[in-house]
Amino acid sequence: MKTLGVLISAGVTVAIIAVVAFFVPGDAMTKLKVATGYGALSIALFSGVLVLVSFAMGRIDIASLFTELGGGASLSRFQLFIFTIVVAMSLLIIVSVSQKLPEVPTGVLTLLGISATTYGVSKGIQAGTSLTKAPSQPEAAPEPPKG
Amino acid sequence: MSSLVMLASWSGLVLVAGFALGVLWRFVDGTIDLAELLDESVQDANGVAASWSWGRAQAFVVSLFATVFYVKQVAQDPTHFPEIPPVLLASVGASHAVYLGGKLKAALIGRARALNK
Repeated sequence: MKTLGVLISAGVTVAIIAVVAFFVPGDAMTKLKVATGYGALSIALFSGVLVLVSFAMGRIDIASLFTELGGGASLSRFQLFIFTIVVAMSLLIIVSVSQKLPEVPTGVLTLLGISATTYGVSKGIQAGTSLTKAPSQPEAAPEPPKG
Repeated sequence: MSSLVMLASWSGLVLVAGFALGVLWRFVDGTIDLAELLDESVQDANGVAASWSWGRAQAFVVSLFATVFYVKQVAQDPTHFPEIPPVLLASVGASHAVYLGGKLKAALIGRARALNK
């Protein structure tokens, strides 16, 4: 399935480049810019779709996406995920509305920095300690030695 | 080129939203378990026990407030990134510092107990 996806992606990209080369009006440089833009977008989009499909089919397991080293859900991972998704989506919305790359204010960068730093430090604290879960059932008695 | 910009931004939005929805679905069907999100794990005589953590709870509430504030600002004016007030940034920073302090304290207590065993 992965090979098929890659082949389809490559085929569509080549088709897009061919269409641009023959049908887009303008000089060679303009055609090259447009073809490169659409070609890169095609590759990125198909790669993203392949990942999402793998995700939906369960080939990419994210069950432990928010799990801490010793078990249990990790708040630092959760808040980093939320902030990253929210800022990424807001960037894409702003680009689609304003048709240009916006200037990123210091506040947004600071917020992302705080979030990422919290995650990093939390990971460091966990790595420095080793936690073992309390047994939920009594452990089985050891077998007597044979003979 | 404007059609390329529009196509690229909408494609990105669909992919990111698709990923976020996929994760949300995993929350709903129980694949991703958030059962102990607001609990802190502390080592005791029997191993590790999870108990309610005020540090985590306040960090969660402050993060949620900051997220809602940010989304509201973007919804009101989607032409540029919102300016985040320094007070909000300081609150988020302080809140996360408290959370990390609690986590470090729990880790050190656990280590001390393990050494005293």
